[in-house]
Amino acid sequence: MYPVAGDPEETSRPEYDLHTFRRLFRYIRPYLHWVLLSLLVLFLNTGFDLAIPYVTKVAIDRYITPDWAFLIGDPGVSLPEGSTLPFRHDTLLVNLHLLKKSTVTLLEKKQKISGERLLVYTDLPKEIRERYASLIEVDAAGTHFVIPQSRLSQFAPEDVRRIRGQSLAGVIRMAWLLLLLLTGSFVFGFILAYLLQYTGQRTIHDLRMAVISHILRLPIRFFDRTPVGKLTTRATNDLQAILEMYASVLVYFIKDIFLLFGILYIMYRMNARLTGVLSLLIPFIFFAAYFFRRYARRAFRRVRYHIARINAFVQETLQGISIIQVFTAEKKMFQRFRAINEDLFKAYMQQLYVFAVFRPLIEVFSAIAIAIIIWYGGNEILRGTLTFGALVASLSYIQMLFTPIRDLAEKYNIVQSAMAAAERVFRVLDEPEEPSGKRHLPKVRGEIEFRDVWFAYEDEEWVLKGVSFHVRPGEVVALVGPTGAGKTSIFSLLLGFYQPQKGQVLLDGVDIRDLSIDDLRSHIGMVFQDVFLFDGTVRENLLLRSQVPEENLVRSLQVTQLDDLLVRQNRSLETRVGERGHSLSGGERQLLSFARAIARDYPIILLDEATSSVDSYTEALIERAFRQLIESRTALIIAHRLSTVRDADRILVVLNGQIVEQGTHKELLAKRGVYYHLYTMQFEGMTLRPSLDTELPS
Amino acid sequence: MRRVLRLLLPFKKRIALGILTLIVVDAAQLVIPLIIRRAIDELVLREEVQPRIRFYALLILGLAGVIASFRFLWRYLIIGSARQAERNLRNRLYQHFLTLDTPFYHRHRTGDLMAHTTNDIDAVRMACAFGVVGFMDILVYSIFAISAMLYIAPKLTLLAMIPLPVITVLVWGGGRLIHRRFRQVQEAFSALTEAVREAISGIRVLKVFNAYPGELRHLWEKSWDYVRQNLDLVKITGLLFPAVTFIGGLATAIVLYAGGSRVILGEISLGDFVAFTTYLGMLIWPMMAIGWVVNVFQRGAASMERIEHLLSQKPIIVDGPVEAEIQGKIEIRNLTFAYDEKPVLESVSLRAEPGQRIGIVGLIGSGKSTLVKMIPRILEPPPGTVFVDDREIREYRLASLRGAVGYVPQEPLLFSATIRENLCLGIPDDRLPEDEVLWALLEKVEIADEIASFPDGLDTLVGERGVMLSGGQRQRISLARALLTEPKILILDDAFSAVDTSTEQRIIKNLEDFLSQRTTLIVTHRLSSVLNADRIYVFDGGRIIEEGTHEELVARQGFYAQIYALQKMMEVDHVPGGRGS
Ligand SMILES: Nc1ncnc2c1ncn2[C@@H]1O[C@H](COP(=O)(O)OP(=O)(O)OP(=O)(O)O)[C@@H](O)[C@H]1O
Ligand SMILES: Nc1ncnc2c1ncn2[C@@H]1O[C@H](COP(=O)(O)OP(=O)(O)OP(=O)(O)O)[C@@H](O)[C@H]1O
Ligand SMILES: [Mg+2]
Repeated sequence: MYPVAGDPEETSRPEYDLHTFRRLFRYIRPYLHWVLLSLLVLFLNTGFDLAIPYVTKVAIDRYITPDWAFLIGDPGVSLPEGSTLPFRHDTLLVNLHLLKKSTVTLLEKKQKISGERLLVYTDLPKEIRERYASLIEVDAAGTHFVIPQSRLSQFAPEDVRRIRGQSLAGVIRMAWLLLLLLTGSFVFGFILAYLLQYTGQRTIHDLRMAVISHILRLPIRFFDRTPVGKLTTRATNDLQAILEMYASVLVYFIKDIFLLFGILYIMYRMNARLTGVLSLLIPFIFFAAYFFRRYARRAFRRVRYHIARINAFVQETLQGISIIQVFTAEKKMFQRFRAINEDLFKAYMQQLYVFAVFRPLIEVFSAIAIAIIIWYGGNEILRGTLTFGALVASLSYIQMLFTPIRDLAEKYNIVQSAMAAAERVFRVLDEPEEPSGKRHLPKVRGEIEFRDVWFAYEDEEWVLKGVSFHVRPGEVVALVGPTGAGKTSIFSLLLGFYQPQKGQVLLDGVDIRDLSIDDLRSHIGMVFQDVFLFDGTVRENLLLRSQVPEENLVRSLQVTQLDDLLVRQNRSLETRVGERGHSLSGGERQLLSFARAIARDYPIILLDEATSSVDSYTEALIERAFRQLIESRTALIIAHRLSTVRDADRILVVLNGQIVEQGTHKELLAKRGVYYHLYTMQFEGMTLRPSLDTELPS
Repeated sequence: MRRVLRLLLPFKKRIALGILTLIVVDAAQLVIPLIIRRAIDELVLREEVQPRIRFYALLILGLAGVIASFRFLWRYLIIGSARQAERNLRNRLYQHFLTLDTPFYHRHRTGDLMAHTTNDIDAVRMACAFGVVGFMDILVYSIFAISAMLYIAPKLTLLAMIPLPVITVLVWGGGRLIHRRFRQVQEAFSALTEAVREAISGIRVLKVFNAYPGELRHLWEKSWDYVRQNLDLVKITGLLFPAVTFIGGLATAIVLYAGGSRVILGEISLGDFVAFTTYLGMLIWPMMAIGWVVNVFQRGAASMERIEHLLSQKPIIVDGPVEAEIQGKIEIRNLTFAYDEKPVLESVSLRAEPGQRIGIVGLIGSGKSTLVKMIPRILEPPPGTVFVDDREIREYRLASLRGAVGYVPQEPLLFSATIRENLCLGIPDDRLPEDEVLWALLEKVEIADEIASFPDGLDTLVGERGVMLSGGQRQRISLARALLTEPKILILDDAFSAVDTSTEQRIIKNLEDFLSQRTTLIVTHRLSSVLNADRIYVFDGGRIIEEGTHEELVARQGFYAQIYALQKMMEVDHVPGGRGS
């Protein structure tokens, strides 16, 4: 029961994605300067983030690990000026930091460099030189003091502190630098988040208003087949999904790309070969992502579809809850609900499998990357082509690189929701608006004509079959006929809710198709068979958020007898009527909807069973006042109760979508045709008391 | 919070297993930095390291395999359980909705209730799944990481920990603020949704009255309010999360300085330092996650509170003990009833013997619908006022009572299903009638021809609230729906208002047999429907002002007689030699 038709809207295809993006972009354009600013901030933010691990690298390489070594024998290559110091006869001191990497590799290979790293000083405090004489090597000239790193542990701590004071100062500088970078990242991170939310919200607000005003302009036919809940979702949750994509994925995605290239560049500069080996992982990651996308898409569709079903079901059954309860259909409804809920659960579980596989897989890749860095990078260190700092930084960068990949699944989900939502939103925006002509008629006399009108809601199932009639300005015409004959449909055509397939509807001699739809309706007041009241006060329901002179309100309440009624019930214009007017009685609701139609001075008034739930007493009072009100106006009245129609200037009898009789009440009764049969049955079996006092009590 | 966790109770074994696997994953993950440490320290010494390094790399790969498979397991176990809990909670809530009564639904908007079944349940599920995982993860991770750090360099660990309490304070305070603002965002959102929903529901009215400009302005304001609330929220969230990262970074800076110095001084090795920073990096995630988890938990708890609040709503209208075959005698004794202060029914007394036909007429708003809604207990009458078969109705089981009552409401509410399904609303699925039965019934309510002319016949979809049907068609389907349950008591509340009189008369004639065995209450404004009722009650302002048969009432020359005269007038005037004479 309560099917949600297999949602064709969900068949999103990737080709559309680009198109959808382009359309979304149109709404962002007014805020482009903000977006560009965000990108700038993003760029800075990324820069700070990228710099952070590098600070550690510099600290390790430049300050923490010593960078001198012994060079034994002839290097065989020319070394840059100043990178070496003479030590003993065939040994030089070499600062590895100042050599090219290839040179270091070459020297390592020829085993010309000592394994041990050294601290080299041109002067050391005398007492230290003396205290640790056995641990300190001095060069032939006696100007350079060399301490191998491994011997440092034999020094007293305070002496080490003195010896390595410069390095310590360097590390402190690095720590401050790090703090500075962090502050930058923090400030820009906040600005970015705010900017994104700001531009996103503004854009979505614009888009929302565009969607809403468009929806309100769609033809009635569209509303016939689209549930309210679904349309509401377009303007609310769907836009929310798009916003989420913008504010938490799209821009950060750009950041991730910046990061990716930034990291690859830095790592490439640190060690090209290691980076090359690591890049071998990239195709595998893409492959995994591709498969994930395929399965996730399918799972995701199913989830969405079942959520839509559940929402539609709950909304509808809650609105009809008292009927369900009176018919003791609770169990039945619960079973239906449980079945849908179970479907949803299964869909979720399927989604879970997809996600539960993807994430650990990425984790494996990340571990492989670490293993490569340790193994390949370790060998590079041995070869002298990679520093420890670079190795450590590589580990950090790889972690940084994998963070966005790890979130890929969640992000993909958001993007999917957003793209599906955007597609649905644009599909609604693509629905053609109500047709509207160009002509304006600021004032009308109120002449209505139907010329051989044929109309069907669907295909060829004619509801109106060649309806022709003419209403003179100021005339009051009643439409009667058995239920389902097509009376309401005639009104719908006159209001431009639907267009006839054949024939013409004319207002003051102008085909209403040529008229601006707003103009047309601004001349017509209508009371619907199905009363619709907004959840607000009596006044709000009369005004519909527009301006109406107070005296008109008072008059409309008087005519419909609501003024007395409200007073008697201690109610006023400010009384709330509840959702759909539930705190009013059926008749009261009708009267309010009636009052709404006559609160404005329309030259044409249509009443569709406007008083069908009103007692005859009240009805008679209303009728009297109403006649006066419409003295010079055109009125079309649909009614089943004879008392309402008999005083009309003319009565049209509608039967099976055709007008089969017309004339005054008297003429039609005399004819003894359809009309006569419709109405004589009303009092069949009643005893007639001609003597009855027919005066209205006042 | 405890309430959220209670949802997971039925899955405690799976969750315990899940948490166990989670611990394995975390442990394995935290071993990796130790391996890195060894590798680096050996690299520094450069002796015979190549084979060992390869071994370490392979070890990391092996651990990765373990981590991956266990990760799959815990996701499956814990998130799967959360999904089950979510499903159960949704079932429970909906089942509860079905038991709540009209007074409740008058107090709550459908839109808000919808929000509970979607957003709130979502938030609770998030708390169940990621809240629990996050919480455990943070706990295990931090304990492991901190112990490892303590093992490597105890003093340094203490130093690095200094900024961490700030995070806790920040997250705690910020979380509360976020929570409050988030609520405001949610409220703005539901106000917006409700406004849009209402505008679309009333689209026909908006169109006819060209009420777009005002409505759009109204919606613009709602939408703008939502934007503002969101920007308010992001001022906190946008600040809080980078702030947590910043403070985490502060710890890194401390370690860089204090740890770096220690390496320089030879107190710890370079490997120690690297492992230490790696652990600290690993700790930053849980520290940020605390904020997130606190958030998820708070949202979940707030949502659960709302849901619990709904679940704790007790219907006033509840089952009684008596299960009985109802014959259809109705008696109302001195009933006074008020929706708010002003009574809409005052000392109303009414009787109907089984099989009788009772007419109820009167002015609009005089309490007729209110009265008949008491009988199937859509509204609850005060004690000691409404009796069926000489027993007070609240003593019956609801299913007993309602099963015996057929109710045709003043506004025919159909569901967006097929005609068949709408007709069979009151029939359990295992007892669905044959098509012939349905058609025979449709014949009786004079709608069979119309439905037969629809291409899909009984399987025609009627649209939301039945928009695809004419008003009279809706009413007759609503009538047939009530007749199909073969009720002992039939209530027709203005059930023919959209049906022309001659069709109405034919229907009543068709049902003559059926009605003669039931107690029928007919509320109507058309006296023609009640002419031959056994008794007619005339209502005015919540009181019965007259009662009797048609003849008696006409003879009284009172209010009824006046109305009758009004309705009769035309025939007197215009049908020369009309039937009745
Ligand atoms: N939106 C719609 N889509 C499809 N069919 C429709 C729609 N509205 C009405 N119909 C069909 O058109 C026919 C005429 O309906 P209409 O509402 O015009 O009748 P009516 O004379 O006003 O009847 P009633 O007196 O019962 O209100 C009916 O058979 C109905 O089922
Ligand atoms: N849910 C409610 N909350 C507050 N007042 C209500 C509620 N429902 C109805 N009323 C008021 O109670 C009174 C009686 O309403 P009721 O629907 O019983 O009238 P009725 O006799 O059926 O009228 P009608 O002939 O118009 O259908 C009315 O004044 C109405 O406004
Ligand atoms: Mg009523």
